Amino acid sequence: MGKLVKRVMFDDMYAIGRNESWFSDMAKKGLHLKKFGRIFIYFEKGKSKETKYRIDMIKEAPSQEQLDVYQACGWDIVTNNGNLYVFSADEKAGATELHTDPIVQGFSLSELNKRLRINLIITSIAMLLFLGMIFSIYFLTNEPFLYMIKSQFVQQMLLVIVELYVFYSVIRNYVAIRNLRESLLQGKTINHKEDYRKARVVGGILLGLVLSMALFTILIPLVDIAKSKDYTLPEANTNLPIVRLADIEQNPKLVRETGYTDNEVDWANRVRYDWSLLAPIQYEIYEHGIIKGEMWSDKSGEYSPSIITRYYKLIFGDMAENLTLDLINRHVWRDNIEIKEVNNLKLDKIYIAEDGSRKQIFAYLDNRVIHVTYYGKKKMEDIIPFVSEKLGSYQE
Amino acid sequence: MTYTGNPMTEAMYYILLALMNPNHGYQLMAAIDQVSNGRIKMGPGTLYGVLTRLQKDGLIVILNDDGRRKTYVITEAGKVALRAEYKRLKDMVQDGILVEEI
Repeated sequence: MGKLVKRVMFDDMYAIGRNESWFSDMAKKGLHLKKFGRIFIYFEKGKSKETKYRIDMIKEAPSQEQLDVYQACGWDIVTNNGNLYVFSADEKAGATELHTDPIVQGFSLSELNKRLRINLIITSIAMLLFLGMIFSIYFLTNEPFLYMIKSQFVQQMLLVIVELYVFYSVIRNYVAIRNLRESLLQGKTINHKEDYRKARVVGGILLGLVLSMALFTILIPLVDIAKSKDYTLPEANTNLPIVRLADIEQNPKLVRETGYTDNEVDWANRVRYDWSLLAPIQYEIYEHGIIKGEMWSDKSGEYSPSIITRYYKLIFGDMAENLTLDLINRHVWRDNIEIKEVNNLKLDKIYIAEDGSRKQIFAYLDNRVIHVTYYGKKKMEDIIPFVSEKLGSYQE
Repeated sequence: MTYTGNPMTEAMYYILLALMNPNHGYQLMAAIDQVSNGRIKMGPGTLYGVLTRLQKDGLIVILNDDGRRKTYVITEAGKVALRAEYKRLKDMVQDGILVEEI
């Protein structure tokens, strides 16, 4: 047996005339069809030969008697894929054409046609559900931009494209057989020498694009996992986009108060770093302290201020305003809290919201967004300069 | 798809005709060749396509299947369909007699 050579089935497997023509041209190059799959076609290397190929839809597996009749007429069975059988004949042997009646051949495709139509209907329903699910995530949420940068938005969109490609191939299958059947029933014979090159090039380009997208889709979560990390916030100075509690409190008696510890990470004093395609730098940083001997204003216990900083660096600066508004929507949850805009020369915009000892600042500059939540006795006016200074001058 | 009385294709007509006598695959082709005076060269794909379809429509049945080969024969329904088609063709030829006078 000669060496097997593999080729990708770029065209539709049901493009019967084009595939027959392709197989014949391959035989001329000494590559003789061996196996016929949905994705790969196998050829056996040998001598160049002028061979005719015919792809025939046979409902039930042909009996030996049937194959003998085919052979007596000059047609040898090569291979099959499901109900699609491929026969070959020597071009010079003058075999009787496999199908001498296009209408009968058209009838033989009725069942496949029906099956592909059902396939298309089911896939369409599944596709609608899938798209509905993906888009409802964005339409039903109150914070679409926050969701977009937090979740794997780009990955989901790539997945949509891959799904659309699958849908496209199902449609292509159906249209190929439907058109072929109709033209046969009108008495037109199949063009066994139909040009296949263009369809293969177009199919190849499309498949290549979709496969690279699929690969990309697989890589994104891996990058995310590799890049994201949690660690305890160092007590010393860091180059993080945060305002330190010590800077706000200005009290030498402030010490760190440790919280729940897991995997050697102190959850009350922690840095969470995350990555996504739309926001390649994302921080969520918690800091918690206590001042011994000092009480909260309502005497509810020892004074223990804390600060949470969220920082996002976006790919598209145009998203900064929307992300800021989404953050406000997410984190200012009481209706009676007034959200005020503060004029500031250093930053593009600053919004503040105050609710007792909980003070929140939302700000952005170009493509960087910051959200600071401070629980403590210091006044909003004391904190704003720190935030504006930090965001204005922060260099990674 | 059942036979609805539409005009038969040539292949269907000749196979029904040939199956007035029980017959099997290869011989059937030879019989058609003979009955059509060599005018019809039927491809094997067409032959088996028609056999499958006629069988499904109940116009022919398998008379005998010894595992090696199947012998087919026309059914009563097949004969009715064949006669109807024969009459249609005859009428057509008769109507076409005009052509001879041109």
